[in-house]
Amino acid sequence: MRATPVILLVLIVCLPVALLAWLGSRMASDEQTVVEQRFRSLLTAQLRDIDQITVAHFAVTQRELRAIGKLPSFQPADIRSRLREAPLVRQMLVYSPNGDVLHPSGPLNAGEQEFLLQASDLVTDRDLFYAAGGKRRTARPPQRSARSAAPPAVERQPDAPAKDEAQEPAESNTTPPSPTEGWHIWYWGRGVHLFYWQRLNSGHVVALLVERSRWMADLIATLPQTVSAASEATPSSSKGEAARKAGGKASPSVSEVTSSRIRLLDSVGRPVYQWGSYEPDEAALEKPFAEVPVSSPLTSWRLQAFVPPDLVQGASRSARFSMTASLAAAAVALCLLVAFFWREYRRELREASQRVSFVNQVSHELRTPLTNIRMYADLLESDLDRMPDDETTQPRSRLKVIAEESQRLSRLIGNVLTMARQQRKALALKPQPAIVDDVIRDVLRQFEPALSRCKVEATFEAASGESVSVDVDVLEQILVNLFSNVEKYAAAGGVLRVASSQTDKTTTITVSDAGPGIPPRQCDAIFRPFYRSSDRLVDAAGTGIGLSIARELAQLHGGDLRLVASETGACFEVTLKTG
Amino acid sequence: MKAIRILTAAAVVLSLTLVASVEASQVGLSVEMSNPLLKAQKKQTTFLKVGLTGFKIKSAKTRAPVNITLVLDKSGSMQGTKIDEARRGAIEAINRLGVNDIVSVVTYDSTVEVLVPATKLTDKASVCQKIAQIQAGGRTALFAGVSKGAAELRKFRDKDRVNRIVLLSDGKANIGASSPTELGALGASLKKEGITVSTMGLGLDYNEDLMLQLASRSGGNHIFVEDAEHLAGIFKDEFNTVLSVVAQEVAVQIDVKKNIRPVRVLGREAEINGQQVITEISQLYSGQDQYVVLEVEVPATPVGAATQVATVQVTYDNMLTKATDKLTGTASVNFSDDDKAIASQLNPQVLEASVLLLANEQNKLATILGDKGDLAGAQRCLDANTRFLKKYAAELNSDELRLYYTQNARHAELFKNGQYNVGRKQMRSDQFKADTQRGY
Repeated sequence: MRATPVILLVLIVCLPVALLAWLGSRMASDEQTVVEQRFRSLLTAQLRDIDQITVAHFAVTQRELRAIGKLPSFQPADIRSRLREAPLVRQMLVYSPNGDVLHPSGPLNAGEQEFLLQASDLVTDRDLFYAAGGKRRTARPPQRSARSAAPPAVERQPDAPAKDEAQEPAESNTTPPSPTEGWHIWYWGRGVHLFYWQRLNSGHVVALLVERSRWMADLIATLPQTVSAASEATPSSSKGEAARKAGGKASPSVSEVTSSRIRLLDSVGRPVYQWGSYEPDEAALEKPFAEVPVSSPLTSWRLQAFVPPDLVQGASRSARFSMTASLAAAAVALCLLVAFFWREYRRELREASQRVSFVNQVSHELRTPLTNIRMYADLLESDLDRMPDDETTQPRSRLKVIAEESQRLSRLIGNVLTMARQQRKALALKPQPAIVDDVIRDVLRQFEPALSRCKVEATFEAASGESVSVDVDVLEQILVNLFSNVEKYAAAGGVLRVASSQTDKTTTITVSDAGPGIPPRQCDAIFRPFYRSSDRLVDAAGTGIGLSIARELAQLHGGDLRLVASETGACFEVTLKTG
Repeated sequence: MKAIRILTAAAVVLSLTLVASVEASQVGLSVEMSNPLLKAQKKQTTFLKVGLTGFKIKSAKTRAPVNITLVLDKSGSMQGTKIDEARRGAIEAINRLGVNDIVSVVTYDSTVEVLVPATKLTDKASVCQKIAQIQAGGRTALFAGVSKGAAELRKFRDKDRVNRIVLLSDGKANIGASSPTELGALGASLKKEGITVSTMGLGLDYNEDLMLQLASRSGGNHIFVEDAEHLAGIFKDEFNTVLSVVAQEVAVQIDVKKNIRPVRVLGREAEINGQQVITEISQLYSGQDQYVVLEVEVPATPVGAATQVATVQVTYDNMLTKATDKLTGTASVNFSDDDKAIASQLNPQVLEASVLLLANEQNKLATILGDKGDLAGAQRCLDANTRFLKKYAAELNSDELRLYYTQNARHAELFKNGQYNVGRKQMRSDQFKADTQRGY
C-alpha cells in the first residue's frame, strides 16, 4: 500500500529528468555539429580569401612577365641579357609565327642546353605553340599532362574563354578570336613548372619559363606569417603588409585570432608553406578541418586549414555546460515539488486516520447509550403490555419506530467498528454452535417492519437446520448488510428471496431481489470499500462499506461473498465454512 | 652637444672628400695569360685570368650602408647552446651596425615569423630585445624562411646598399622546397636582383649541399660552424665582409677572339655564349682579390704571330662613389719554338690560380665519387691531386699551393680513415673557399 506512491513519486522525478537529459544530449550534439559547420564555413571563407591573395599575386607576376616577354628583338644576345636581368625567368622559348623555335637555337650556353634537354617534348611537339593558339601544320600531338589556363588578361577577347580555346579541336577551321597570353602548366622534375606565354603582334610566341623556386618564394612572401604571442604584444606594422600589397584581404582572420594552421600543398600533397601557431598531429595524420583548391594557374595545389580539435569542441562545451546546469535545476525543482506533494500526502493520510479513529471512538461511545435506549425501549414495551390495549396502540407504534431506528443505528455502528477492527487486523472469529436458519429468521424478523413498509415480500427457503459451528455475530452482520441493501436499493422489485443450504463443511445462503440489478462492469467495484454504485440523490443514503465488510467477514469465516448471475435483480451468494 | 654633432658632420664630409681625392677608389683590373708565350704550331689549351682587386676603404665611416636580413633557424634541434650562441652572435653583430643600416630578422621553425620587419636601425635595443626572446622548437621550413627574408630585404633594396641575407641553419630543411637545386635556383634568382645569401651551417646535421648551392649561386659566403661556441666569431666575420663591400654586381664579360674557343670557367658559374663569356661576381670586399680563370683552346699558330686572345670588360657598382664604373683590358699571346723562352715567360700567379682551381675541380670529383660510395676511387683521385699540387707548389714555389695540398692530403685521410661522412662538410666548405678565393 505504501510502496506504490513512493514508486510513483520516484517516476515523477526520474522520467522528466531522463527525458530532459536525452533531449539535452541530443541538442548538445546538434549544437556541436552546428558549431563545427559554422567554423568550417568560416575557415573555408578564409581559405578563399587566401586563394585570392595567390590570384592577385599571379596577376602582378603576370604584368611583370608580360613586360619581360615584349622582346624588342629576337637576337640571342638581347634575349640573354634580358634573362640576366630578370630574376623571375629562368629561360625563354621563342617561336616564330609559323612555329619554328627561334630561341634557344644556334650555339647554346649550358643553361639553354639543360633547358632544351628538359623541355625537349615541349619544344619539339610545339605543345606551347599550339596552346598559344598557333596554327597546326600536322595532326595534333597527344596531349600530355600539360594544361593551359588563361588568366584574366586585358587583351583577351571577352567572348572567348581561354579554356575552351586551349581545348579547341584541331579539325575546326573557324578559329574564334584567341587569347594572346596565358599560363601553361608543365609537370617536370620536382613538380609543377609555370610557363607564361604571349603572342606578340608580330605573331611570335614568347614563352617564359618562370623560375620555380622564385615564384614559390614570392608566393610565400605574399602569404601571411606566423605571429607569435611575443610579437603580438607589440603589433608590428608589417603584419599582413605583404598580403595587402598583393591586393589580398588581410583583415584579422580566424587564423590570427585563434590558433590554427594554414597549409599550402603542392600537387602531391607536400606542404609548400604553412603558417599559424597550431601544430597538427603529424603522427596521427590529422585531417584538415577545411580545404580549398588553389585557383589558376596552380589548380593542382590546395589550401588546408587545421584547428585544434578542442577548440571546436570547446565552443560547444559551454553550451553543454549550461544544458547540464538547467537539467540539474529542473531535477532539483522536481524533487522539491515531489517532496512537497509527499508531505501533503502524508499529512492527509494522517488526518484521515485521525478522522477514522475519531469516528471509531465516537461509534464506540455511541454504543453504550444505544444499548441503554434499546434496553429501555424493551422495558417500555413490557410496561405497555401490562396496560390496556386501547391506550397503548399509539405509544406502541411509536415505540416500534424507536426500536427500528435504534436497530439501524446499531447496525451502522457495528459496521463502522468492524471496519475499524479489520483495519487494525483485530477481527477474530468466535464460533459457537448455532442453527443457521434460526439466525436468518431472527434477522428477517428484525427487518420485517422495514420491509413491510417498503412493500417488500420476504420469502425464505430454509434448508440449514443443522446445528453448526458459526460466529453468529458475523453471520448476522453479513445478512444485515445484504438485507439492508435490498431495503435501500431494490425495494422497487418487491421481493426478497433468501435460501440456505448446507453440506458437511459449508453453509451457503443466497439473497436475491428483483431490483434494478448491478451492471456487469461494477461487479467487482461494489465490493470495494466506500464504493457506491450510484450517487444519485434520489437513491438512498449509504456509507458504501456494507458489501465490503460483508465480504471481508465471509472470507474471515473461511468462505466468500459473491455476486451470482441472475435473470432479474441482484443475487448474492454467501458461503461460510461451518465444518 | 650640438657642437659635437656639427663637428662630426664636418669630419665625415672632410673624410669623404679626402677619400675621394686621395684613395684610388677604383677596382683594379688585371688580364693575364698563364703562358704569354705559347708553343707554335700546336693546338693547346691555356688559361686566362681576370684579376679584380677591391680598393681599400680606410675608415669605417666611408663604408656603404647595408641592408641585411638575418634568417635564423629556431627549429627544435637548435635548443640549448646553439640558440643561445645564435642569439648572442646576432645581437653582437647587429650592435656593429649604424643608424643608416637597415636590418630585419626572420625566424623559422615549422613556420616563419618576421620577427623584426625591415627597418632603419634607429632602435637597436628593441631589435636586440626581440632577438633575445627567440625560443627554439619545431621543424625546419628553410625555404620559406629565405623567401620571407628576401621579401623583407627587397623592401629597401637599393643599388647603393649591400643587400645580404644571412641564413643560419643547423638541420635539414623539411618543410617546403628542400633540395639543393631548388635552393640554388632561388639563390641564382636573388643574385640577379643583387641580393646575396650567406649561409652558416651549424653542427653536423645540416645539408651542406643545399647551403652551399644557395650561397654559391647567390654569390654569398658559406661557413661551416662545427661548434656553436664559434658562432659569435663567425657572425662577426660575416658582418666584417658585409661592412667592407666596395663594389657590387661586378659583371665580367670576356669576348674571346675568333678561332680561339672558350672551354670553361674554373670554379665559377658562367655563361658561355659562343665567343662571349659572361660571369658575375656579386661583391668585392675592401682589398680583396677575386679572379676569374677561363680555359681557352688556341689553334695551331705559326711562330711570331702575336694574337690577341680576348678583350675583357668589367662593369660594377662602386659603393663609394655610387657610380657604375667600367674597366677594360685585353690579353694576347705570342708563339715561339723556343721551349726555354716559353718556360721563362710563364706567369706564376696565373698558373698558381689555375692549378688551384683545377685541383679544386678534382677535389670536387672526389666528393662525387665518395657520395657514390666509391671510396677507393675518391682516395685515388685525391692522391693524384696531391701529387699534382705538390709538383706545382715546388715548381712555382707557392705557399698557397702548399697549404692547399696539405688540405687535399687531409681530405684523402678522411677517405682512408673512413671518416668521410664526418669530414664531408669541412671538405665541401674548403672547396667553396677555393672557388670563391676566400683564403684558407
